Amino acid sequence: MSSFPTKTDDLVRRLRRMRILVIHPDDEERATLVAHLKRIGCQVDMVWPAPDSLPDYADVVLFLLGPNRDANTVSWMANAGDIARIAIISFETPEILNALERLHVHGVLSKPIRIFGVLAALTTAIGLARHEATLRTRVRSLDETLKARRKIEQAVALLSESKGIDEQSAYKRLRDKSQNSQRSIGEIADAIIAANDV
Amino acid sequence: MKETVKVGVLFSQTGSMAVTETAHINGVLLACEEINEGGGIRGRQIEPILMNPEGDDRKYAEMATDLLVNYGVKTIFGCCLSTSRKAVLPLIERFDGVLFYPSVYEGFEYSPNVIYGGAVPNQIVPPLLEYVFEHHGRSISLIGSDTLYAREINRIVKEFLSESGGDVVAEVYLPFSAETGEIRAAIAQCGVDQTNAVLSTMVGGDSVALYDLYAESGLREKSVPIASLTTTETELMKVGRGARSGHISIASYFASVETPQNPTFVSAFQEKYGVNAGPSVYSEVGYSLVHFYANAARLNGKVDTRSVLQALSGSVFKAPGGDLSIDMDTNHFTLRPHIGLSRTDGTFDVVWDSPKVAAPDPYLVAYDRSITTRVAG
Repeated sequence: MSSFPTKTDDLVRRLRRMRILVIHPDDEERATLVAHLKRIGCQVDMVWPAPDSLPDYADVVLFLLGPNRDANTVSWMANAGDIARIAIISFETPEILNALERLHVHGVLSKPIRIFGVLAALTTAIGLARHEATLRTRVRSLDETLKARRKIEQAVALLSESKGIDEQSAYKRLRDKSQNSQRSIGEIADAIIAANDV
Repeated sequence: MKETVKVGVLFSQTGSMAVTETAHINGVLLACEEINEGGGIRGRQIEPILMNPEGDDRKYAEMATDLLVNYGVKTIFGCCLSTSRKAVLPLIERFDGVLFYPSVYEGFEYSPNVIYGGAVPNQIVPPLLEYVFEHHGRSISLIGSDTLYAREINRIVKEFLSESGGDVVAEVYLPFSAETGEIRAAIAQCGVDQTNAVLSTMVGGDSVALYDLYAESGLREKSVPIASLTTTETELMKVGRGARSGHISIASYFASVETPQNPTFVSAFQEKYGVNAGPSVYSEVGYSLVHFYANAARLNGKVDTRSVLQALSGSVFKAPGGDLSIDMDTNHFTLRPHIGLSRTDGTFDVVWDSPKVAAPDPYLVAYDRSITTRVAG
């Protein structure tokens, strides 16, 4: 029977909810790019020169990466977090290529900007940035779990002894409690150890 | 004698799309003739240079280059399938010409060098589905030629159905020039007891074959219609008489629409091509685009790309199907969709006219995917 695309995988509609910031001098090329971004239904803001920090609303940044160092400040990168970053380049010199790698962009548009390819660069970059954000979150929680491991082992031992269950079930209880209470498994373990000390 | 204005005419006269693309040519050539009889473009005759790419995308690209470079053509009327348009697009941009594209297509494209004359999904999919829901039901089977167009239309249709409590019974894609057996098998997949309507995105000669074979099926016996965005008088005339009637098509033009300017167009068309030749939307859009172009060129007497594109802005043409105006943000047209019910004589009874014109939304920025709000469930 029918297999519908789930709502989450509607790339284009997701794109519409994105706020895009274009960091590029006010010229004809920017006008062409912005007109097309609006044509495909995105919300766009423009700024030049590059700001020191990004406005909170930005989900995607398209920024000019030119050879001119002053106008090119990328200090906004410091608070760019999970934002999808697409560089606009007019040279492929080693210096620019190094900068691209260092800045860790999710996509590149080359000048002169052609309409064809903008949509694909956007969706790809957004997809990558999302994936990266997911991985980052996962890594953070793994880190924490790793740090808390000794405490967790201790808590599991206490729990299995006091409740008379095996260690696997004890761990499962910890994990379920963590999931249900929105607290990390380490915090739950801490609480159990503290309660046991009393 | 003034120098002529050469324009390219780039459509396949052979291959599986010949039936449809010939209809485009007929509309384009009729308009050229009318313009020339009326004194041309400020006294210069239009000289159409007809090329036949034989349904081969590479030839579309080669011939477009030939027209733009060797013939010095600035304007091409051409392409029907999206793959051929995509092949021509970079060349039209590189040599800075204008492509007038006369076919219905899937949207999601913009080039400053292309004028898109056909309907895009937001203009025709919702009203067609609304009509099918109201008159036949919400269980739909999808049969299409395996094109970009078919897949995109079906993606939109499925989204629509899921938002509106409908369902997809079968979804089949067939190769070009599909075998009889393949088409029969596709029809058989549409469960007689489950399907309320078959939405066809078949194109050209394959569309004709679908209707012919459908006539032998149980679906036909139960009066389950085929609903189509691509079947017009042109294709219907090629279908066997007994297989023609009772199917639904949506288009921005049918030969039977009632506008003041339509009778003149129909009689001119039939005088040139014979009474069994339509016209259909394929011819009407081709015809209208040529007039649109000529009117723009007459404004300042210049036929270079920049002048023509500037002159097109804001102009309105009284096309046989109704007023055409161009949206210069997207280079697509505002048009009025109609729904036709096919008849045994190969024409359509217009059973629904859109009460308002539909603005183009090629990137589906603002369209409403659900029709439950508009059709009582």
